[in-house]
Amino acid sequence: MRSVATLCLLTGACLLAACGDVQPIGVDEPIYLNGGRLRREALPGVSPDTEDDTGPRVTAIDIVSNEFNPGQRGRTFGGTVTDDAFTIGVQLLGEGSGWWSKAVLGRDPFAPGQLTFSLDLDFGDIEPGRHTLRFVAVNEDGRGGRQSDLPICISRPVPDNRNSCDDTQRPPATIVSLRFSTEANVDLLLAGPNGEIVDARRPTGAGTGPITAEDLADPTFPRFGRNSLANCQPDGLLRESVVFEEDPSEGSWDVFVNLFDSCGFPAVTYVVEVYHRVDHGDGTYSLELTDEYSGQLLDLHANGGTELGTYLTTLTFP
Amino acid sequence: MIQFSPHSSARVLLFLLTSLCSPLAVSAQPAAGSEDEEEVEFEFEATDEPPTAPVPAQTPTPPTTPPAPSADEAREARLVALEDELARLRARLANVEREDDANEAEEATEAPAAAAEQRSGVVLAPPGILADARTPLAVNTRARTVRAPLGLSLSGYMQVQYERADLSEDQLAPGGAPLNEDRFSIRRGRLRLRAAHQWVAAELEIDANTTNGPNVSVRRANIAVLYRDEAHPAAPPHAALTVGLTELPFGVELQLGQDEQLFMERSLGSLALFPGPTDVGAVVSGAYGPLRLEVALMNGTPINDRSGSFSSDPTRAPDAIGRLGVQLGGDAEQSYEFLSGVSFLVGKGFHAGREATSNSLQWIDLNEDGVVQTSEIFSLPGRGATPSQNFDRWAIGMDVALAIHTPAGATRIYGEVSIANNLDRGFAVADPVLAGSDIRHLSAYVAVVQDITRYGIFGARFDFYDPNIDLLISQRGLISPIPSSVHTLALTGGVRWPGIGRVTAQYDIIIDHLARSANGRPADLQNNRLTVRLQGVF
Repeated sequence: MRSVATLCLLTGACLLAACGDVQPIGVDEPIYLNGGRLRREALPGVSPDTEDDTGPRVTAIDIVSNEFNPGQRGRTFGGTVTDDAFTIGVQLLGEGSGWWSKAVLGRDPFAPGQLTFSLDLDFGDIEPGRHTLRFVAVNEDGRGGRQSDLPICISRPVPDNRNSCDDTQRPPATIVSLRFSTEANVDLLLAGPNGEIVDARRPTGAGTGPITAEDLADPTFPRFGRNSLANCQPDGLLRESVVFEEDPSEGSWDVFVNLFDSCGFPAVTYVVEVYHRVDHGDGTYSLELTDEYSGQLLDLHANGGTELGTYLTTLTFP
Repeated sequence: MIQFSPHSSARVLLFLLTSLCSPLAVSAQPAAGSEDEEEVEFEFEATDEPPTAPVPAQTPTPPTTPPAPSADEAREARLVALEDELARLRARLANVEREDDANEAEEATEAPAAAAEQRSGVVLAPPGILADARTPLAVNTRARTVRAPLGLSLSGYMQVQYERADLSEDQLAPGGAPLNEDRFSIRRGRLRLRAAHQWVAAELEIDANTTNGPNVSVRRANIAVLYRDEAHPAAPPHAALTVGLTELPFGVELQLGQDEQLFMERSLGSLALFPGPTDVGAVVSGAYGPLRLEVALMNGTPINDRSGSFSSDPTRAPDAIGRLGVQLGGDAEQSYEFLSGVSFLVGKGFHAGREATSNSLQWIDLNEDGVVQTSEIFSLPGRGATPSQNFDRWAIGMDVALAIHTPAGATRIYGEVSIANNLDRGFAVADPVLAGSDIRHLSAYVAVVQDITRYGIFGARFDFYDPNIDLLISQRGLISPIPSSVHTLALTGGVRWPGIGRVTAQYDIIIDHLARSANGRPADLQNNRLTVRLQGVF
């Protein structure tokens, strides 16, 4: 009878306004918790800076590494909470529209009085650099205890030698990076002063002959990174890069973009970015985006690699 | 519905004769050499003179030949001829009016029988609630087919609607399906061809919709052999055998034509247990007095009403479905109609096995550094196929419906209760092989539909569906029961133009347990829905 009365009250309330929890799928959030629920509201609990130990708490967080790539999926977080917790909540501090919650698991056989949790997080397009993941344990009443922070680092989408996480690390001198919009096989190609070609099929610009150990050890030779969408196999990268670890002493390199295979798409939009290393003089470095070139290729431009493609610019050294 | 009227020529003639009473001076002469009344030609001349006084009807006499053609005598002779002609026309007018009165009297005597036919689940004229203020309580679509007018008839309807759902997002679900549900769509566009004979009836219905993309498919295609009740033509046939694609004889809601239902869709329980209202098979139906019986053997894979897809039935065993009921009232002099029945379904479900796989390698980034290492490469040996399995499924249901006709319009109250086992095929698909135990479902609804004069209509329906009465949840290492029921209150109202169409709006208030609260317990998900639909019929 009580449930019927409750139902009638709920129905009456819903006549006046939409009711229920709004729980969007959350794929537009900076982090995505697989199997979790997104709650677009403030993270419950009290700040980690306080000394308040009442309520449920996160007692341990286990991770393999605190460095993450943008777009990386399936990073696991384990840990334990006090036994009065029902769910574990997590948010990327200062970003996103809410927090994710997921039920905790059973008792930890190695830590009496504590419950375990396991989270499977995907990372979206997050600004490279340092961030904070904030965790909270939530009890049966929906109240959180003291929150716990976990510093993490999001690396750059281009190979920067971990400079985004540690600015004392020296990034490459020049990076040419191509990103594109659809899952078509678009290739970045650089043509050197002596006819060298650097692309997915020729990943080093060491000339037309055999690649020697000296060639590979020469930091002024450009290196091609991953071939994205090879054979039209989706890889989630949608980016290719050529790295000059150190700038050549002289010469110029022409930059081309070529549509190897449209993979069934009528058009693809691309952007070529050029990064240069900045030495701050105090032992720290950064990467600066100096130039951007954008354009579009149609499916009729696909040539299977028989041409260099569309010329964009020339990198002149020094 | 396209029909031929036998009185059209008489009405044209009546219109012409009525023109004689207008303030016109009429000069009418038979065409030269014509003796047939149907070929009389009329000439009309407008004049300002008032009409002449009416002349009593009399038998026309042939005009006499004038002895001397003086001007006055000629004018007099012509006047006499006109008076004679006028008298003859008045006599014809009187005959036509008498025939028309007789026809109207005959139609008046046939009307109660026709009304009784409609209320007893038989529709001879344009279908459904759009045709008559005295809306039939429950129109069995198959009954409409077997009692269709002899000969061919073509009819149809179209439903265009706009939906707004709380769940809509401008995002894609995993797999690429859009999450947006706010849209215009052609929900149903049906073209129905019916043929009826004394012993045979057939139906073919084609649907075109954009519910899940443009789709055209067959929704009904069946032929029936009938043994009609000749003593009571308005009654359902004593016996009928229908084979082909036709309605599942379970309950009331499932057998209603989708143009007949006021509510936008069937109740959630009905949609879950029967994703579509039609299946291929054979149905035996019979009627004796108030008793109604329908028993069917069908494939057991209803055609999905939303996707329009047809999946082949994977099990050899057909589903047995049937309904035994009573139907009372519904005569012209009776202000009520009542029907009730019990339904059953017994059949086999299908758990798909797995195909054999080949050997493969898998890389798992154990240290999450994005670099392949030998310790992170695993072999996945090929696996043999696993067999598919059948499982038993069944359902029983009871339905009750009552209609009360008042001067304000009909009031209809109806509802159903169903208990089913392993039958959910549309909402939380039941697979007891995976679950390890039978999955029980409970479905019920009650609906009230009120006509407001001939042009207004309002309805409310509350339905309940629990896809798994025995659902358990594991939380904090403990197993505990968890509610999974969904309650929906549908409020509908609109206006209609009998024989043309209607505009209705429906707001669905859904209270469920599909969300999770902050403590991880089931909570109500905000997923109410508004639908505005324009339906046109012909």
